[in-house]
Amino acid sequence: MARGSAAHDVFGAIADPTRRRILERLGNTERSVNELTAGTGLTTSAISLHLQVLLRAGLVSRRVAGRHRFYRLDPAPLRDVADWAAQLSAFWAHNLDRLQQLAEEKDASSNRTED
Amino acid sequence: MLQAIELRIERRIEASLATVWACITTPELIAHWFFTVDFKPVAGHRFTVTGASVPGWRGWTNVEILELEPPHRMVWKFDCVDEAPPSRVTFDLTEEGGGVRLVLTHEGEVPARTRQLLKEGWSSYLPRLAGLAGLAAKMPS
Repeated sequence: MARGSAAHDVFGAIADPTRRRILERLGNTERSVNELTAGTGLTTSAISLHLQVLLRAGLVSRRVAGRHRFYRLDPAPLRDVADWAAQLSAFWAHNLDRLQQLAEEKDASSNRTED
Repeated sequence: MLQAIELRIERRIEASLATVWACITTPELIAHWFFTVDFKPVAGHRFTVTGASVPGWRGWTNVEILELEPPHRMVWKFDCVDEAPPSRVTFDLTEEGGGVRLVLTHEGEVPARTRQLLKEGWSSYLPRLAGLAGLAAKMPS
């Protein structure tokens, strides 16, 4: 269940619009808390709290240099979220492929027997 | 009840209605395309689907037959995740020009946090976020 709860944390982490903005802002660039706060209308401590959530979900990594903390995007867990949504669809598509094949083969063989 | 997820798959099957119905309601045939399960074509009957757990699935699903209208319609209560109430899977069969049109729907609630994401159109964020890091995200079509 460890993996399940980790995926759950990712869902929670990106459910918040502010945290999604932080992730988008990070992109490929390492940024400080101050940089991430600028222009948001929020305080650095509010942004720090959001960063804690992202850190716990494994969506960002942190580098500490003296009194400064720098954050970087780690997108691997996003794959879990995308996979989760795709899985259900793939699961049924796969099963229905086999159902279709089974039904068509059955009728094809019974038609041959009747002919 | 908010139905946050509704998956719909349509198939045209070149077989008779009786054959397709048999394939989805006969244990030996169900085993060919789905899982080996203790299936009985009776409303209220329950069975469990078990398999190797994979990311996103705990390895077992409790199913209950909610509706059975031979040879057209079958509805399952499908309890597959811990975090959400059971969902509904419906098989609808319609005769169509010598073949069968099968419509499968899977609808229900998804885990609360996920539901929030779906509501906010989170999926549109994923390719963008993933793209930033050069990651090819697999998105459902």
